[in-house]
Amino acid sequence: MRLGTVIGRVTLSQSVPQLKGARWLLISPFNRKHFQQGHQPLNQITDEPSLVIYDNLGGGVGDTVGFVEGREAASPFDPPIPIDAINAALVDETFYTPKEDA
Amino acid sequence: MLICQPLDAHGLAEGTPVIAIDPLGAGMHQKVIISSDGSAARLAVMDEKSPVRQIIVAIIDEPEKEAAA
Repeated sequence: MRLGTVIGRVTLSQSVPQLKGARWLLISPFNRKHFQQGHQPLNQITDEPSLVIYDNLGGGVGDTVGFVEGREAASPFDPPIPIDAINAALVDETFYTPKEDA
Repeated sequence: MLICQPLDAHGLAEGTPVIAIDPLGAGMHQKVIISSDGSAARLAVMDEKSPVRQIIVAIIDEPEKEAAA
């Protein structure tokens, strides 16, 4: 799982049947600096490539979410649906205390 | 779940931190080995439908010192 900030929503006009009714979030993944800032909303968009994730938890713009990429994103669905990334957690708080030399 | 900073060959931070589930109880600043194999992680949480992926599979005791130059 990686963390990211929700920076928008995506709606579809046409889609494959498996994705009907799905909710999509546009997110900007945290980079290392972002972890250090914690939840300060300044500069939400990082240099990491933004991506669209499937969302059934109801994340909103500005929220911090934990997302999973890859084949595992489709694990909760039987039969599998064609998604690459899923919102797995709405993040409450993070505690980040790296070593000085790290 | 723990925030884990990947390290490079010299033990320095490299890349973006990832969040891994921690069945072993690693402590702050301990070096660990992370697997990003989802099937192992799903076994660990005993839920075939979990989207979990990164899992801590080992806590490093002490890295072997480089051979004397």
